[in-house]
Amino acid sequence: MKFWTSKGSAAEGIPTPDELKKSPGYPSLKSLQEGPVAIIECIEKIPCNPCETACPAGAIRIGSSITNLPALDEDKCTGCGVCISSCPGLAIFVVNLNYANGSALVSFPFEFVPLPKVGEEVAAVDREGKEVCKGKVIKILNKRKQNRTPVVSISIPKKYALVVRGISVNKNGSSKQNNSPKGRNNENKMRVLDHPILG
Amino acid sequence: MKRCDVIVIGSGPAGLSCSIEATGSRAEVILIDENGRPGGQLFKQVHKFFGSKQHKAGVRGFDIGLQLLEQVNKLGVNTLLNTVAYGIFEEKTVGIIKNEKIEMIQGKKILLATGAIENPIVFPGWTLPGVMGAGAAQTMINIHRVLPGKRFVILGSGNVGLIISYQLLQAGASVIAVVEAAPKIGGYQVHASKIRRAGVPVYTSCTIKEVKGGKEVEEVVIVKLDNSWRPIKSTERSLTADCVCIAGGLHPSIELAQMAGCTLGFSPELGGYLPTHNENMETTIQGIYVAGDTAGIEEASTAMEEGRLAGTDMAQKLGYLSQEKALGKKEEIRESLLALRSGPFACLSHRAKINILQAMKANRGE
Amino acid sequence: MLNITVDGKKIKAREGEMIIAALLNAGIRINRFTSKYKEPRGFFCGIGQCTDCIMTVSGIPNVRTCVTPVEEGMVVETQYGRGEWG
Repeated sequence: MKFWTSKGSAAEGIPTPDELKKSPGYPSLKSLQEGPVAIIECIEKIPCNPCETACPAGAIRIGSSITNLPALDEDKCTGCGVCISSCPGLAIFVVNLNYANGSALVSFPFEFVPLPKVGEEVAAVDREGKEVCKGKVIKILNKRKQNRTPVVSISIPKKYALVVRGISVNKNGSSKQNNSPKGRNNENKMRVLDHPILG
Repeated sequence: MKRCDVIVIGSGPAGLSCSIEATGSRAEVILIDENGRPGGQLFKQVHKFFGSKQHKAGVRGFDIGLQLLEQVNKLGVNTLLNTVAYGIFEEKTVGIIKNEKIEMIQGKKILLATGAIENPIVFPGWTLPGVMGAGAAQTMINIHRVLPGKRFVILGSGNVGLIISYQLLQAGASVIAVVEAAPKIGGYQVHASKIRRAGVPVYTSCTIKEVKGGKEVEEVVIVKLDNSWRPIKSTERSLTADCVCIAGGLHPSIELAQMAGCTLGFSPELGGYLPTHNENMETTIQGIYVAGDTAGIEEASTAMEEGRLAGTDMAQKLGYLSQEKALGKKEEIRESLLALRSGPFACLSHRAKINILQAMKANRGE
Repeated sequence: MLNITVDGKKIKAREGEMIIAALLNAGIRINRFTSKYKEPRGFFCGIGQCTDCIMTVSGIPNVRTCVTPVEEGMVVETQYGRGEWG
């Protein structure tokens, strides 16, 4: 398994592997090897608890003090992924190390347009947005209950499963909106024509 | 002269919540806002709110705005839009300008919920077109659906800077960097992680040395800072950008409170000078209340609760709500505020608010 | 959609939007030049408080373009200094 380096969440916004492993929302390696499981990368005490009520299996616990860190009950977690879109901080992922031979499935929230297409080959990125490997889009879930937070699942080489947390966004400073099918011309080159939340 | 029970100045989350609470208790409310539509900054907030279910966690800011508006409309609150409240005079008289005409209205209670003003940060080149407040950029992309530039540098890594970086990406812009003078990121780790995943670097212990350009922003020069926050020579770095968003914090908008003679206190944690108030949001001038950012820079969730608190106290003092019922409501609201002001981030606000209550007690000679 | 002119050039604007939005959409970011040093100024606070975005609109100077909605046929001009009436 590949890990990542980071000076720490305070200076960089990226948790170190150690910070995550110590947090109650991070599953054990044993659990990860058993199949799909949620990974909650929320390590700061802020008043927030929608993940607790969202989990249909009751596998996330915060308790009466809403600044408690979310704790994952590995025995109850089915890896269903409902929690992914419930988190306002977009800090929850689901990883399935047993997806296929040599491949893992990583599911993450993605609030950008355009959404990728199922079957598309994508650039899978790490927590710094750097491309780590290529991935294939397997599923995109965007139901009303997710409140405009689509969940994208990509298959990637298994060894990157703890590193990959998304796909590339607005690469190379060029706005993807420049190719928006809604029709861009000289008269509206600065318009926000297609917005992931506002439509 | 028009008279009513309660005049609410500002129809953001605090003003709307107070109006709903007071009108719900049968008080006659006039709600004033200088903008063409109510909601304050709520409609720019396209992200999901934090907190708990009762704080509308998971609901997007603009959806909360719509919910509040629905309640206001259902209750039939008298709302004056495009109306500037330009002054407060004797006997709780408020001067307003509507349709280019001056009018005076008088209330028994007044709520000042006028929000906040962005802090400018000054550096050579800050006057160039393309340098703007972070909130200003947010208004343009989320309300007016237009990008004020294509390549952004954000100055300030508090929640405002981090969230706006994310929203700029969603609007199709490129965020070249977030620059933060402190050695640590100011806002929530989860907000920072979101933009890092999208490839946005955050440069801590850095600041903008100068912004260059002919007639508009073309280049942003950043420089590293030492432990004493002083620029380190030869660490300058040039970024190609056409837009700089200053996210250097907010300070309460208190001009009307000053006019009315409210005692002010200085609270650095809450953004600067603000009207000293008691546990019911009432200032040192009896009958004049403050809520929301006017009473200290916090969040929309605390603004709504403070608005409700003020509205409940007003309804009780006006005789529309029994002392018993009012007490029950206030206890529930104060508990909610306590929950929102917990944790390492918000405990600073919590302590600052306690200091304000103590200052109020000292003012009353207790 | 409606039409306004900016320094003689026709641009399109959306109904109900602020003048500044139509200008930014057309890539126009300079609103005025200062009196003394003739420096360019543009949109800054977005909330009607700083007056950096003021322009002369249909003959009236010092109009805050960030809080003034567009109207069909509006004539918007870059303002130099304090501007002139009429």
